[in-house]
Amino acid sequence: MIAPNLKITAENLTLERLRPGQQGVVVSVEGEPAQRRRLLEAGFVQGSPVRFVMATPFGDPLVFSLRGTQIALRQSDARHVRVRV
Amino acid sequence: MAAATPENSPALPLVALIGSANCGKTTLFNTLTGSHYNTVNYPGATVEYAVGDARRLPGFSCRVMDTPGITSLVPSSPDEKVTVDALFQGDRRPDILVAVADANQLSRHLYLTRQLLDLGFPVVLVVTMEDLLLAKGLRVDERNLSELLDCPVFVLDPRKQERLSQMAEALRALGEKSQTRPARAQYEAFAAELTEERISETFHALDALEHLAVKPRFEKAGREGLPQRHGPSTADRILLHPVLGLLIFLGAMCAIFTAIFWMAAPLMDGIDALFGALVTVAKSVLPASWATDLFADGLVGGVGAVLVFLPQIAILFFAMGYLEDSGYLARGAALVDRPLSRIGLNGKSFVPLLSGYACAIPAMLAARTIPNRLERMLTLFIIPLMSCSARLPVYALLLAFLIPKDKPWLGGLAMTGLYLSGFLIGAVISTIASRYLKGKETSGFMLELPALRAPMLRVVLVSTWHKTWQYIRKAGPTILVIALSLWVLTHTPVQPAPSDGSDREYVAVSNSYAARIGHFIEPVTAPMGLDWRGGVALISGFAAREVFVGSLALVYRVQELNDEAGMTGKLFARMSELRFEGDGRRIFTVSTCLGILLFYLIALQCFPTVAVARNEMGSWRWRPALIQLGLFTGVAYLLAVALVQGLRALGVP
Ligand SMILES: Nc1nc2c(ncn2[C@@H]2O[C@H](COP(=O)(O)OP(=O)(O)OP(=O)(O)O)[C@@H](O)[C@H]2O)c(=O)[nH]1
Repeated sequence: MIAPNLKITAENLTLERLRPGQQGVVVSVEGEPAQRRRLLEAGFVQGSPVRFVMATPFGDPLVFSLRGTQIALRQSDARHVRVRV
Repeated sequence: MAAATPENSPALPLVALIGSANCGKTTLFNTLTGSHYNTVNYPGATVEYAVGDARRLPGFSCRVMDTPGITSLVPSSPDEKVTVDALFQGDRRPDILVAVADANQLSRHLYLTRQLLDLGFPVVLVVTMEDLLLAKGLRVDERNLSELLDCPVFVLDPRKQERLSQMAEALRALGEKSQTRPARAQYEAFAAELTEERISETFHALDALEHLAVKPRFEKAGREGLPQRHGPSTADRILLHPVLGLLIFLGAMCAIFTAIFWMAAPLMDGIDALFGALVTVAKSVLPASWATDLFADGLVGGVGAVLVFLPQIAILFFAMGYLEDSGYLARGAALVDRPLSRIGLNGKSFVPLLSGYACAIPAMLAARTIPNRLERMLTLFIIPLMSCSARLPVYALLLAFLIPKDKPWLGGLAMTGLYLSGFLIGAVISTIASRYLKGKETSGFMLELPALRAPMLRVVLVSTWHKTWQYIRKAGPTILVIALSLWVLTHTPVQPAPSDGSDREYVAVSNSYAARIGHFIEPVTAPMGLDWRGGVALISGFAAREVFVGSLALVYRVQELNDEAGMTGKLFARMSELRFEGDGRRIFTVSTCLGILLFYLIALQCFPTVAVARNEMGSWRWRPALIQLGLFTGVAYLLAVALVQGLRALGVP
């Protein structure tokens, strides 16, 4: 689910598209309500800096660093977090 | 609103430690209680809580409870729900909460503390891991944080006995204010109002708070402290490396199972020999009588049967505890998420499945951490296929019996094969089931990867001891009762000593109640290649699998052989000479042993597991649990019969 008014651009992309080491700032969180709440309560709220650390051996989940810790997140979840770089 | 100390609660106030996973709760708990604690069952839930007297807290008597980690008061998986419910209902509602937060991720961890304070709980905040923050050139301003949150705050390292008297003072002061605790209704209203805006606002407020409370350690360093290192740690570069990471993962799994087989073996032999000797001593000291036999063979032998497989369980618990404490277990779960999601499971199924190799019951409780319902059900469904430690004595006995002594590697290989097959069968079942069952919820995976560290051996050992003791307490009495009943069944009605000089024990067993049952079910056990005595041993395994070995020893009257050392030696001698009563064919042939192995691999022979499965599968009630029982046991039987008959047709003895 992508809000129609937000186009994917170089500066505005979804979390799983960050390059290793690249940092973005959360713009919005989509997804179905329970999933969205889990992401928000983990700290992926608007304005939070997130950095893509590395992928796990099978390429998914991805490891992000957020608010002083590291979180493994499946690409299908990461897709719902929109960031600005 | 409930008063601070309800009539029915124990006199001492109850202090609960609450916090996110890995924040240091358990460490603090061990420090407060001096690692002396019990695990108790929470009313209405099979979850176990560690509760102990806070003996290291000077001047304030209370009981302390450790709880599973939660991120929010609104739960997103069943394990979180149990913790949250415990705060609002039941007669063990805590009187005071100690919120525990990691200094390095204050905003994330204070999210929960904020919720607790907003609801009006009496809270003392403990901030841990400041040493790691100091290393980054930052520190926590305790006074400031306490003022901002309006609650007592202690920045301390829970691994050390520090500031305990100050904490005791704060807890006492809070308790004396005779605070009231929020009622369920208040909580419901709170949960209903938890909108996305509220969550974002809370975090923004916490960001501001963190900015004020976390300061540079040295004046000249900037606000950000020392320059931060970005990117993965060196350890993670290796542990999560596409090739090395996988090799290490496989290596770790192999190491665990190798330890279970090889390290446990001498310990098990020791226990085995010890109890064999005890039985012999008991018999030689006590006058020969029915009661002596009951005591020696039934009771002492029965206790031995319970204790003999403990080394393996303890080693598995230790390995899991060690990996968990080091932070590797979370990485393991993340690593296998992708392959497991292909077969309808989740990375979070990893820990439950691995625990299933020790015992299905705690494994099923561990499955509560899986948020997605369908994935949780599938995990619960296949957990019994992971060969639990109770099956190990059976595997060990039959493989050792089948495989020549000079080829121990073949035994190891066969054992690995058995363990892998259990998982593979489970994988096939869950793949097929997930194709047909469609869950309503979207699947996902989110897990914090805690910083890697060297575990504290003492802590891991203490928790291993508690888990193992827990296991003895739970399984021990059942196994013992069964062993005793079985002895009684095989020795009643009491037969007069035979006048024609035939073997007294033989007459006793063949005319016993057990024999009658065995003969009755012989049509079912015969196709598997077992005579009535083997049949008795096989059903007794339904009470607890490991009883099979003890039962074999009993029904085949192993104890009277005195020339071999230990139970197992005697059992081997007996098994290789046993013949069918009618035609004199040997009973324990290759095909029969393989048949029993296959049966034990698949059959669900543990009724406590069925009961727990029923409970954990929630509103689906008995159906899946009974399908599990019927399907696994039925399929196991049919396959075993097919294998035995097939091998015989091919000319295998
Ligand atoms: N460096 C450092 N390590 C700590 C501190 N407090 C706890 N630890 C370590 O952090 C790890 C996790 O602590 P636990 O007490 O198991 O955390 P927990 O909150 O009980 O975690 P769960 O049981 O997963 O909910 C352990 O290895 C502790 O030794 C601290 O102040 N500094």
